Amino acid sequence: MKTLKISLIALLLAFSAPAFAQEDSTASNDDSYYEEGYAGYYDPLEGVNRQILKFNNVMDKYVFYPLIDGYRFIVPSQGRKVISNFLRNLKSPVDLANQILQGDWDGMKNTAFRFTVNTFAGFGGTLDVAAWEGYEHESEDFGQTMAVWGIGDGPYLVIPFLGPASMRDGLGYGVDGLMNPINHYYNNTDERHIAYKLTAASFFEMKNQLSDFEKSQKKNSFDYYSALRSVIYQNRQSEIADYKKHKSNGTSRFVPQYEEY
Amino acid sequence: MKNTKTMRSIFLTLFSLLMVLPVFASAQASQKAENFVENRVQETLNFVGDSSISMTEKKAKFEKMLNASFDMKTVARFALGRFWRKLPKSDQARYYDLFENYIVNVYAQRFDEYSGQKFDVTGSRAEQNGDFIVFSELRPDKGANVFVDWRIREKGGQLKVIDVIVEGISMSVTQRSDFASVIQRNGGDISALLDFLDKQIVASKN
Repeated sequence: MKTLKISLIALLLAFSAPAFAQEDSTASNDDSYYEEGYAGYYDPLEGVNRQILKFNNVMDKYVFYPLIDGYRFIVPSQGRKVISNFLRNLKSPVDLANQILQGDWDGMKNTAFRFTVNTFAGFGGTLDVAAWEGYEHESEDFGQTMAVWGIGDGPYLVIPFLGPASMRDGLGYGVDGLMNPINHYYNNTDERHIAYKLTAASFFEMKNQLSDFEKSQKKNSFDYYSALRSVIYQNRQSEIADYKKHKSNGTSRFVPQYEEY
Repeated sequence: MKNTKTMRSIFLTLFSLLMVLPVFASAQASQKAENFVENRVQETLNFVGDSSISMTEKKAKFEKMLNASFDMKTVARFALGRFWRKLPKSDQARYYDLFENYIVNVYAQRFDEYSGQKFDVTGSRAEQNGDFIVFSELRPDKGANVFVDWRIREKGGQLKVIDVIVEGISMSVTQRSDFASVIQRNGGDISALLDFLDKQIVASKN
């Protein structure tokens, strides 16, 4: 089963290689693919993507947002914080593995320290004790690792239920799931359902954190599809530039550069 | 022998002073940009969070602040991107006007969120093109801190904001994608965007 999953991903990677050749550096004056003066995106499937986004928006409105409202009504904000800390701490091995693959030594030290302190002193990761001491969380994933290795975004995709991601990042999230030792542990016991439940909980938590932003963006943009696409690419750029690492020391934070008129 | 040594040390001192001077000047200008952001944002948070002021009055005050602190024409032109050159001269004034109203309405929806937030400038840096980036943090009562960076440019001897970057996401870049897409999806017709802006403003008044 495991080998099947891995070979499936390898196959996908192999087939999508030409797609990944679409690098930022090829940004030309081709209006339909690239936004002028800013890091490009490649969106050859825009028609299909727009349909999927429409579907996702309906799901948001009738399923996810009501669920999130219910969750926020039942669980007080302190409790939500505990849940979010716990899930994030479980993902630490994935953050660490990616930092190793990126050769991000400072990041590795930070994640290892956080994981140890929060797991033991933070009651199994439910309290983010390390952040109080200035060791802030840094989100890593295999998409970022591939970006550090020089692999381009590939085509922009809107994935049903899950939302938008470049093909590279979408694959990256899949690889992260495979990397996670907790998934491996439960997959090799009779308690596979726990792995699924944790994944579902993480997804719900992500949706919960995104929903306020999504709602205001939906309200304030004329074409939500393209505003969202721009935000996704900008967010990834700053994550890849490890924006968060530089949060506290201020002056080295990443800001987008662009042409003016 | 001793003379040359003194000469050399004098020369070195002068030289290092010359080298340091521009750095010093830019650090001072950078500090000015930090103060500018600090003051304007604090002022704005104060009246936005004041429950004794009506919404209409808040909007009017906000618009005044926007005009005084932002280079609205540069922001507006940037949002239109390459389509700026295609906008007929006769429509420019109308576009500037619509854009400003649009921005006021977008922010006005969030006035409630801003009340009770603490704000700190955390640093700044000079960019190669002469702009300054001022880094800051909004600290809400509950929830995580929000990192807000400001692109500042000197225009006619005055500092002006030309972009706001929230958690790494530039408002200007996002607007530009949104606007460009509306125009493109209407066959390159800029007046379609102007209509959208018009409608949004009307809708927000109801």
